[in-house]
Amino acid sequence: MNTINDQVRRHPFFAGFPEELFQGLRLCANHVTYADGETIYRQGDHAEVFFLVQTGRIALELQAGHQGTVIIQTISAGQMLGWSWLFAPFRRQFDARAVTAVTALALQAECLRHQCDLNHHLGHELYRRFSNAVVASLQAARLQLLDLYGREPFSAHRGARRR
Amino acid sequence: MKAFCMHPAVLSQIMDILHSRGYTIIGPKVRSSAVVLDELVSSNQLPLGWRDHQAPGVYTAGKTSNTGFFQTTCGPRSWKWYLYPPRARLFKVRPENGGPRLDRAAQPAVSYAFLGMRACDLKAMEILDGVLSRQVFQDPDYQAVRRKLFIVAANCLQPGQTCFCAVMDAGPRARSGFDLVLNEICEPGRNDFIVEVGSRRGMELLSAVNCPPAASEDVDRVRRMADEAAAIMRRNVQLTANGSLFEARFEHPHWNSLEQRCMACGNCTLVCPTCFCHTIEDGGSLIEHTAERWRQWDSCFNLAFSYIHGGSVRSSIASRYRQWLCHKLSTWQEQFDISGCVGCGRCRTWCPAGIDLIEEFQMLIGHNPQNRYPVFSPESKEPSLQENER
Amino acid sequence: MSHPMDPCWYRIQRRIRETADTFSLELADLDTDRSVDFAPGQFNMVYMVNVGEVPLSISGDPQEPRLQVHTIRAYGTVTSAMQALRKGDIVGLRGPYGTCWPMAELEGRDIIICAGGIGMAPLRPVLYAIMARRQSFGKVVLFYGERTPGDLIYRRQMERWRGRFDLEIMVTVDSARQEWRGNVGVVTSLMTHLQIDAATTSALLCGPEIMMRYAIEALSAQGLEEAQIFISMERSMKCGIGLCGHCQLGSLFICKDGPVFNYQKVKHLFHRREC
Repeated sequence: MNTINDQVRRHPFFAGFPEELFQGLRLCANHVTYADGETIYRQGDHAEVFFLVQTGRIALELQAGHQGTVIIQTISAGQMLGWSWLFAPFRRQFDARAVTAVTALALQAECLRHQCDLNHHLGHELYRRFSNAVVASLQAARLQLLDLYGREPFSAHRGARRR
Repeated sequence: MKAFCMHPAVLSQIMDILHSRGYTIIGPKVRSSAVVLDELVSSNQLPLGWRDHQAPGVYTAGKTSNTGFFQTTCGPRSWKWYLYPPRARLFKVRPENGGPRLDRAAQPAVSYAFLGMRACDLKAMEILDGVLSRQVFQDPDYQAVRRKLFIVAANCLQPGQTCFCAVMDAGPRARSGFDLVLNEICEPGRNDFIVEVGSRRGMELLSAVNCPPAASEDVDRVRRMADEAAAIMRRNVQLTANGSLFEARFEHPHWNSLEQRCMACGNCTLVCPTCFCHTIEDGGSLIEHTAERWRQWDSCFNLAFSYIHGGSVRSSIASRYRQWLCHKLSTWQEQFDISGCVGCGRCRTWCPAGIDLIEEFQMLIGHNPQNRYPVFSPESKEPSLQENER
Repeated sequence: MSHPMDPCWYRIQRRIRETADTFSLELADLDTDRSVDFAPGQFNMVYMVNVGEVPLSISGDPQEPRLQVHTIRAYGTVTSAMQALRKGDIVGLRGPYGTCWPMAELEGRDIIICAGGIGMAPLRPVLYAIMARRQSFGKVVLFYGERTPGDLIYRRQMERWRGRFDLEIMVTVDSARQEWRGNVGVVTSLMTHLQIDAATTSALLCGPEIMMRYAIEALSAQGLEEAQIFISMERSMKCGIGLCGHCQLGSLFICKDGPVFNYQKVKHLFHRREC
């Protein structure tokens, strides 16, 4: 059987996830696809889902005003996108855009959050996975934002955009 | 308004008088197979019999059997070339007693007489007045040229193919701001100007030549012709610009299509009679041991136009086109209480890619015959790319 | 009639090295003892003969209008050339131009000042004005973010001000060497433990737009009203007087409608991309 639940369970994000917890887990998931170049969400959007990417690649972008668009991170197949739903006010912090065709599983956050509140064991397992992703993107963002006041801010990104 | 009937031969007398009073006459003239504005020393240089054909990205002109002088519409050069020259030296700095001394060019402004200025360009000059002459800071060079200006306008009795002055409430009939305005009647068996007077100076000039009062049916006739020309333009072009329209469409996906089509050559801004943006160039001369400051036309289509430390604010071509169109049709109104577009159609004709501001505008407001882009209203969510492809 | 593009001549009275690439020039009128009043937040067009003219915010003390002070970071062609200027050299000046920080409205209020990089320069006149009449203002906090500790400007002056204990100064850098004992991180990271009374607080921001965007978010999260946030913006400027068209942002000319704006009034433009 290749139900949506099976696909979620097989996704690397859930690797090592205790089977008994998964059995009790009510998933509110559906398939989504995005075309090359399509916006998945924008900064300020209400964050109600997170994505388990199955194929393709997604860019997390920051619109840096006169400095153009800065890709701060990319998310590829096997990775998770979007953790703004974890904390109030549940708003996206960056733009996410498909840089190739993307297929992903979209999981309704509110439904999961509620179950985590009721079952802390489940919450711990899920939050541990999200923390990993959060720390990774934080480290990346720090490195990229180092030169905000420098002589050539974002020069590495801008080189390719000049015309 | 007083109206007189003037034989075409009298035009050269008028030009002679203007010359004798020290005016440099600027008017239409044939150059490189185009009718352009240039200095005229005699009425023989007027484009007698010339007609033009204009369409987005298309301009052709040639001599016909027509016997009129003013039967072409706007050419690529606008009057701002003379009012606000493309390149002008503002000052020189030379060393004196160990310090800098500033020398300003002392020659007085040229006295120009504009011959054959169209209603749209008169309106454009009114708009430039608002920018350069009625703000907190003013351009004294512009004001000096403007004060000395004598204007013999010419009404358009037939619209050009890219014209939409009637839609922008700028023409085709000049209503004010001129000294004299010509209505050219040229048909088999008859060549006459119905001349209307717009100022005391105009009346004074006209009384120096022999012009009988115009017959009232002739005055009515040229009025009717101008009205018909206006009606044709209003039929062909629907354009009701206002600020909120663009506010709501700032993120419209149609702007992105300009990225592929527009070359950012800046032609539209150079031919536009109201575009006023300029840059300042400071430099030195090794020969004279002087420094100079020049003012030079600039274009919002140049990448460097919006450059600040870190990069250009408008790095995509689409954003530069959006800046231009929004400024012309929307933000100009907020800045100067008047639209920045007079409907002269020059930007339509002289875009090498044939990008037509009217078409772009209609795409943006959703009046698109192919309906490739869904209508976007502020209430609805912005259409996604997928929806567009469907 | 004088032409608005003609500069007046000023002599450099003093050149102060702030950092490796940043310096301050104190300028006085060449011929007269004339003083030119300016308000904190305004700018001058500064002309280096043979090189070019750039807009530079005024960083001096508004109570000493005889001196026009500019703090210059050598990032562009003209500002780099200006590094060669020395005491006694002559430069051209036009100004002061533009809007200013709302000092009168700020009286009696708590003030948060948030500066990023060379954005500190147009905010120093605010500190001078506050320090001159310290009791007219409430609590004052300065957040100042820089690239590295070596890039911090006005360091000694700030240490002096901090010594007065009536001004809280919090500095952060993006990266630092081991000897640095201060904060490392973005400016907003300084604001997380901020306790403010939103009803009586105003904020003045100047720095890269990205920095200001996050700072506004952090301040709004603390309940600060948008109408009580003021920002200073930067755009390309060739004339400084609303004629050249370069500095347009929507219907605004940054040179004459700004550079200082009430955030609430420019919010719709501030967040637009390539606007």
